[in-house]
Amino acid sequence: MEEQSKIVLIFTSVHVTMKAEKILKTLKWAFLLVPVPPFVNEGCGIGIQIASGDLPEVQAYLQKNEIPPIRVVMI
Amino acid sequence: MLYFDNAATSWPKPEVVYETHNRVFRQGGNAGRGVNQSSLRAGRLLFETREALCRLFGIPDSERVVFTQNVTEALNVGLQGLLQSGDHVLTSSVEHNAVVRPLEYLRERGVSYTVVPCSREGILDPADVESYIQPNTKLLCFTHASNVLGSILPIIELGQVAKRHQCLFMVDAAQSGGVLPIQVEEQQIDFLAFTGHKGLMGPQGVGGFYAKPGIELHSLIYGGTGIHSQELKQPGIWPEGMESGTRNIPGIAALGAGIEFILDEGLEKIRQHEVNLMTMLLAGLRKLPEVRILGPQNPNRRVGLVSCMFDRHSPEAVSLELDRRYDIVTRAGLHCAPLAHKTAGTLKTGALRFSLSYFQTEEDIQSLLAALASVIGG
Ligand SMILES: Cc1ncc(COP(=O)(O)O)c(C=O)c1O
Repeated sequence: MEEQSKIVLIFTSVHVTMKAEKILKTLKWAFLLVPVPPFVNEGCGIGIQIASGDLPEVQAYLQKNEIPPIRVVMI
Repeated sequence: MLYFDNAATSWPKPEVVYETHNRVFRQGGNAGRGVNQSSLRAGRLLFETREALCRLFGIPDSERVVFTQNVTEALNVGLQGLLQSGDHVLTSSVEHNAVVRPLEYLRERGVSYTVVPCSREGILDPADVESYIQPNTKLLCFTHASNVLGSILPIIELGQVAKRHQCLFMVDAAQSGGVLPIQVEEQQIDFLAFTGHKGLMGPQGVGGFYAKPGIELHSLIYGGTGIHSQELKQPGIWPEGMESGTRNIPGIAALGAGIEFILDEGLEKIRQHEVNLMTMLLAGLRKLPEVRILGPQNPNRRVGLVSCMFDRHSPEAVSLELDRRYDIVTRAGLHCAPLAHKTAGTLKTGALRFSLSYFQTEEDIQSLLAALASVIGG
């Protein structure tokens, strides 16, 4: 992936991250579980990296399933 | 060996439970510790067992399922975490020490409790419970089924009493999980404590609880959670903030396999098998001279265990004889539940308990009855 396309979704807990992963697995978007550096003060240290072009759709989908990320960061 | 001590810990487990434990133990990996394939795999296993528990117990949100070592730890987190000085608790006269002892220690912190008496058979009348409610009653804490008398407590009605008086409702599901229907929302259970190694068919060393969203609890154990490591205090995030220290990942995965087994078989089928065996065991025991059966006589009013007394033999002697001479495992004594024995009038002597499993057959019951007849007859 290109440098500017590293969008990472952050969730409150590992548990919610696993829940989001499970849901995303059944769908078309490519994603990767990645470590989040400690300077990102929120979340559980695991993030879900997606392509930046997919962000609006992925976010809307997660929102609909009541697991919205607490933050979206570029790393 | 014929094993009749399933109320202490069930044996054997479904084959898939052993296989899962072995596979996951060999895979390694620590959930929530780093982002590597092993850690993620372990994290997914915890997630899946939480989800399986949600399906079994009708829990709406798996975030509120926390893993502990056993139901004793779960009850301690619930009781010590919820109760404060001035609070009053109602409980029953058939509770296990896992409830009574934490409550007794909480008295030193200004918490009071009342033990609502059950009948000699261990039957509890919800109207009695209601009559003991005080203005400061915060919690109703009851076992779903007695581990000595086998009696099933009326948890639907107890939940209704709790809600009528704006109290929290806590249930110890040690003897009922995996056998009796438990649906936390319908039964208005705010805190459900379970243990993995009995009816849920998992290994020892795994249990946990569900606490309804909105219930604030502090953890009893502080330490690493894998998340928010920069903070000096526990993160108030569920479930991880409540789970300091490494979980028993192979055990939790194996518990998940046990629950999937139960869901596949169906609770009704499991319960029916237990009732059939219990009916046969009770009928056989009644035919033996000098056996006094404790608890309800109706098999539908009890879980799969029966304790009894003998006119001319001590429970320990019979248990020992069954073990040594017939390779039959039973349990004599007080079963960590002196209140239940006091209720039955057997506090001084204890009793002999036979407890059943889904994997037993009618032939097993016949073998037990035959051995018992020769032990007490001789
Ligand atoms: C009703 C009840 N509560 C609590 C317990 C304690 O279970 P554990 O040892 O798994 O914590 C038991 C089991 O002996 C029990 O029967």
